[in-house]
Amino acid sequence: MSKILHRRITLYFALGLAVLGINVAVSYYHIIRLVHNNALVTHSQEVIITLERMLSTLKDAETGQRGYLLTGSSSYLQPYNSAIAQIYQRVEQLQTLTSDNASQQQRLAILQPLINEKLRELDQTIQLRQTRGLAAAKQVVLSDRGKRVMDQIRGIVAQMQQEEEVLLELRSQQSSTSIQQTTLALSLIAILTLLLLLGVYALITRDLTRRKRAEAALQRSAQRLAILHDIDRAILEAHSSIEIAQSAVARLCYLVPCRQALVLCYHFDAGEAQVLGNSSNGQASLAVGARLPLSSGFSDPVLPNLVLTSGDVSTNGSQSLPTTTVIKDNARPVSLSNGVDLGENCVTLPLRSENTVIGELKLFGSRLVTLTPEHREITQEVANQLAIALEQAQLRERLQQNATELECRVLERTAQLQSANTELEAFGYSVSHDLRAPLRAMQGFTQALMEDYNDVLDGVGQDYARRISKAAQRMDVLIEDLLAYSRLSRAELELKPIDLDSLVSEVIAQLELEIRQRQAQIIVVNPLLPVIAHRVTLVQVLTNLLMNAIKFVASGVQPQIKIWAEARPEARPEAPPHQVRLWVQDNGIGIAPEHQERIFRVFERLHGVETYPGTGIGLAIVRKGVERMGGQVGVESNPSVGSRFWLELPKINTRERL
Amino acid sequence: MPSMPGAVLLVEDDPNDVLLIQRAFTKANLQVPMQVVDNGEAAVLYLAGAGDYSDRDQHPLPILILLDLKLPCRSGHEVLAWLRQQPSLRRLPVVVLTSSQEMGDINRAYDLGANSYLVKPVAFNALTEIVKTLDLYWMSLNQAPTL
Repeated sequence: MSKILHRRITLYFALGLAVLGINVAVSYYHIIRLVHNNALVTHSQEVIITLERMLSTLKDAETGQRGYLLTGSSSYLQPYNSAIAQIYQRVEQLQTLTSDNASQQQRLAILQPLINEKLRELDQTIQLRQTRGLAAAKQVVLSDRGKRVMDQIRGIVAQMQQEEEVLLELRSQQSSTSIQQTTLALSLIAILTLLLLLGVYALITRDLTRRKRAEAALQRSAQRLAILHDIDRAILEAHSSIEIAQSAVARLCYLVPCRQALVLCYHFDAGEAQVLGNSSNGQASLAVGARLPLSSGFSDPVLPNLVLTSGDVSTNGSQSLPTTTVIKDNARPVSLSNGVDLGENCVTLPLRSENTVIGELKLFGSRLVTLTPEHREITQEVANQLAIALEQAQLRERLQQNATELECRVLERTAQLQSANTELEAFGYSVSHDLRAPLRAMQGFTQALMEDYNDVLDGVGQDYARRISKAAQRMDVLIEDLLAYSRLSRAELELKPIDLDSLVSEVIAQLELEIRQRQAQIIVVNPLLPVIAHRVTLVQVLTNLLMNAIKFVASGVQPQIKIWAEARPEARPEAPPHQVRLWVQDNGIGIAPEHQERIFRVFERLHGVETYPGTGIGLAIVRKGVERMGGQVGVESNPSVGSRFWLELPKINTRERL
Repeated sequence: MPSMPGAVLLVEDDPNDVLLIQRAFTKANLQVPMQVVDNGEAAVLYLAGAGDYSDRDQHPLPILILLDLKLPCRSGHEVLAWLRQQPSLRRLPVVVLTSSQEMGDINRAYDLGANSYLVKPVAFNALTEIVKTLDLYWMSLNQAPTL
């Protein structure tokens, strides 16, 4: 309820209450006055009656006296006596009744001695009759004294009665006036009250109607909001364009009276319009998902001879040009308009994304129902929201498509890589198997030649045969190293905590033969720190490092090797170290600074095979192996003193166990 | 050298290798007769005593098989798998003698029940050493099962 209305109704009620109050007050006042008047009237009448009674009592006394005077019969004295007994009672009554009237009291004051005198005269005559007989009494009577007193009494009583009559008349008039006034006042008040009530009724009725209307509007707006909310949710829940459109048309038809609602989406580049939503699913020619050519006509029970064209979309899309567009008999308008009711009761609203029209929302109403401005508004809102939702959905679909394409490409690449890898493996396998067979034949048969036909061959021939055999053996070592290197690149290395102490002593044990041959001295500074590594690879790496340390010494020098480990300090001093650096120091020939990087590459040799035999792959295997285990490798060297090779591997956490 | 009854079956497709192994046997002074088949299918037929190999006098059941892995028709792995499924032959000792040093090949051979895995050395002297060791280990020291 509005405040003004509320205030008005309160005011009306207050006025009504006030009027009722006045009514009560006026009524009370008048009734009191009426009752008072009536009492006064009764009072006056009582005075009059009492006066009359008093007079008649006095007359009764006189009548009794006359009868006794004439007859001398004491039977006449009885009414006389009773009258005498009553007379003062009457006077007393009058005294009381007229106590509020001064003039009447004055008259009573005059009356009372007269009555006394009369009574005395009566008593005197009766006494005279009794004592001296009739004549004496007759003389007194004839003196007219009694008559004069009686006349005086009558005069005063008449005066008094007249006064009371006047009073009576006055009070009757007052009473009737009062009754008239009361009636008038009450009628007026009643009318006023009625008017006020009518006013309040009107106000409440008006308010109720307004409320009902507001409630209906509220409900509609709630439904509207629900649709828009649903579309919003559809956007958020990543529904497809078709799902969004279908949900929108289904709900729109529920809110706006229409026979059918359609959502079309234009694909100008393909020259098509796609049906994204259709509230009546039965139409085969306009099935959801169907594509309609934009430039050519299609006939349909729903859209009779309708032509969709892509021309002039921009101009028709602008608000200022609401082109009407029922399209009949292949006329050439655009099916876009700005929500104009068409001849067939069709409303078309463009779905706009910024300034481009991306589609349209069509409503087909029945002939009997026209759409209210509110319905239009709802449709417009839905169209706006739908446009945003569809645009979002399309963007998302495109994104998804891109993602799928990308994924496909990744899969393709992965497959290519896998196939390349498989081929590489097959190659490695083939090298491992087939390349060595001829080597064995070369080596084996050269040896056979040297053994069985030694006497046939001269010195040069024997030398050649030896060279062939040696070359074959070297090639075999080369192949073996290459295979080891390629295996290291391909293999999946499972990293585990490893105890370096036991691993290093294992490697030294394996190299026992070489160590003994060269009389090498190896010092291990235990304990070494545990690391995370791949055991087999680490063995291979350390074997290669130690072999190099033993091998690359100047002739006549006893190889002296020292192995120790240290935790690497972090860049941030407070952080605990998580790398272990293992050092292998030798007293070998050393490496010039310019060669220190080269030596870790495949087939890089610094010396002739004759001086230091080898394939040039050993350190490449070391580097590859350490890198595959997530570590690093390096060398510090001084050509005259020796080399210090180091490798860094992840340190073991105290929580991890060996 | 004690001479053992029975024979060694060499499954090897490379005639050079066959020749070298035979030479190594001779060099090592092994008296044990050697039967040679050059593909996996033939190896299966020989062991089953079928086809050309039905005569057990001419083609006696071997006491040791030297098996190459890379073979025509049936691979060495396939021959091994077949052999281990034969109730009457499954206990036959098989020594794989091949060129491959690939971990996959080695593990698969053991998975299929190989008793030993040897890589053919390029140096002929090493081959002779291997053959000598084979003779010592499998024919002298090793207790042969009943088939």
